[in-house]
Amino acid sequence: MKESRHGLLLLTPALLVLTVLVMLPLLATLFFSFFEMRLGGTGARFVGLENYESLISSPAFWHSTKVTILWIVLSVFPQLAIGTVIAVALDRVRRLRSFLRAAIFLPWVIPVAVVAYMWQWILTPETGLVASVAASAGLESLAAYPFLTAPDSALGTALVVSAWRGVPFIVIMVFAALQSIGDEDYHAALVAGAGPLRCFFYVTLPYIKNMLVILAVIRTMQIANNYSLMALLTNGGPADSTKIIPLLIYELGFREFSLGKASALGVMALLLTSVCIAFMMRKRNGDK
Amino acid sequence: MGTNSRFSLSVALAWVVGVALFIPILWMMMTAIRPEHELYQIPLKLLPGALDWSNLETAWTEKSFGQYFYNSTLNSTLSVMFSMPIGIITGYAFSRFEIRHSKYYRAYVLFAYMVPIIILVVPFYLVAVQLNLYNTRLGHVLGLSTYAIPFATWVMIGYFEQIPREVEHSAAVDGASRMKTLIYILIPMARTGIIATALLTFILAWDDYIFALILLDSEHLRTLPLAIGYLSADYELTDGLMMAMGTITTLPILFLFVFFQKYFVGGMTSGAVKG
Repeated sequence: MKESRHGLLLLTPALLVLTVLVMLPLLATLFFSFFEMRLGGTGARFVGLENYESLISSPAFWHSTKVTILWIVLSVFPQLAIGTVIAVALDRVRRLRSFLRAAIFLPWVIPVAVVAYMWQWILTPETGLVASVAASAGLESLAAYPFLTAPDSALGTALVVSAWRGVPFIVIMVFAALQSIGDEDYHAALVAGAGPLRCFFYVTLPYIKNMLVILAVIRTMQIANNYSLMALLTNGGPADSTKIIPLLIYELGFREFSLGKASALGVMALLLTSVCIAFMMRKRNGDK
Repeated sequence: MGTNSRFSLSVALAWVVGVALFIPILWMMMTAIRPEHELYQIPLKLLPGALDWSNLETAWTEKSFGQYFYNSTLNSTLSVMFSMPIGIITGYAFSRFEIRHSKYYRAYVLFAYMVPIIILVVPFYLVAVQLNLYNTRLGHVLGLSTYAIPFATWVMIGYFEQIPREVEHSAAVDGASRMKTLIYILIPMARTGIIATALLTFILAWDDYIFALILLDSEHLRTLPLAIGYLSADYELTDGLMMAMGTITTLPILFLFVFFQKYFVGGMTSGAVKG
């Protein structure tokens, strides 16, 4: 009893701070979502589910939902696949292994504003690094191509930038999981005459399967809710082709000043995230 | 040997990827210190023919990046100082006390850790305005803390759980109080974890763009990422100057990364995954 109370006493600061800084704002968002509120306006009017209804009936909402789903699916799975291949390759490196691991990891810690800024510049038509390389190779049309400002290619280009930053994260995590596989396991498989592909599917994959599932969930949450990278890279454009839901939330709240609608969209985005959170919690409890 | 050649193919792939990922960062930094006339020369040269520090100087003084650097450093440091004590005490409590319903409190921390920032932004902005915290350093530090604190707490819980309990049993036999055990035995033992968590929290805070964007207005309070966000709309900047700004924003993180290398990977794989 006393034990429990002492422990709880030590938890109090964290519980208090998390309640004030995270839970109350979250509840406020839920509360605001039932009101019509203008930024800078006075008073709020209770409107029930009107904000939700108007979102669901707006093409902008469905468009952003579609873009967000594309953005998530085309980010998460390719990044997982590529990251796993690189992690397996890195695992076979013997010389300068830690150095190489650090070099591969580096993009993950580069500030997101710099990532966006740097890639915009690298991809600038005519003068950027990609254009210069293309021009040297005689590919004039590629050198002039506006990767980030053409509606056809903006999302695809953003996916490449997202992969540049995200793949290193996958590599490091999968690489860590690979370290739990003993050499005996591979030897046994090699003796049994298994080729590298079979080795991967029958020896490696079972060991890292759990890690891959967790990473898929984590990366989904990171990508689904990240405002900054897309805002700085394309700001949703051109022609809304990269306007993912976080950008729409920001636009509704701080450009159209419609805080109620922004909150309602936030609540809807949270539902998706909650599924991920619930999954993570079950996973964690299951592992214990 | 077939297997051997495949293995070296893997090694080659790993190196190619490592170099390819690094080139954009290196290119940015080289452009920052390259003389203007070398910028668009064909064929491309990775290393500059001469060093030119003028872009870095102009960014630092004329373009106020010195001030922004100070703001980023101070705000990130403050949010680490808010987060770490809470993280340490909470990690200690969860791993060393039999708390009733501990499972639910843990879930609460995990939930807070995973709530997307974009959802907190509207109410946070409104409250900040009400409490006169809008456009103040404290307001921004509190904004950073909405994710720095759950992050540090969650990672510290993981670290404290890794420390075997036998340690304190022997300390208890020696008659040491719990507080003494925490301060003189557990914290030193968790040192690696504490350093790793503090570093990753710092980097997380340094990376912040959204809270700076909604909470800071005055130029003298701007952080580096916010300044970069505003500048990307400024077409009068030369490429060299732009990349000097990017370099100034990246170098401190690069520095921490290189000098504290071993802490990073340990921290990452202990549940440090907010991004």
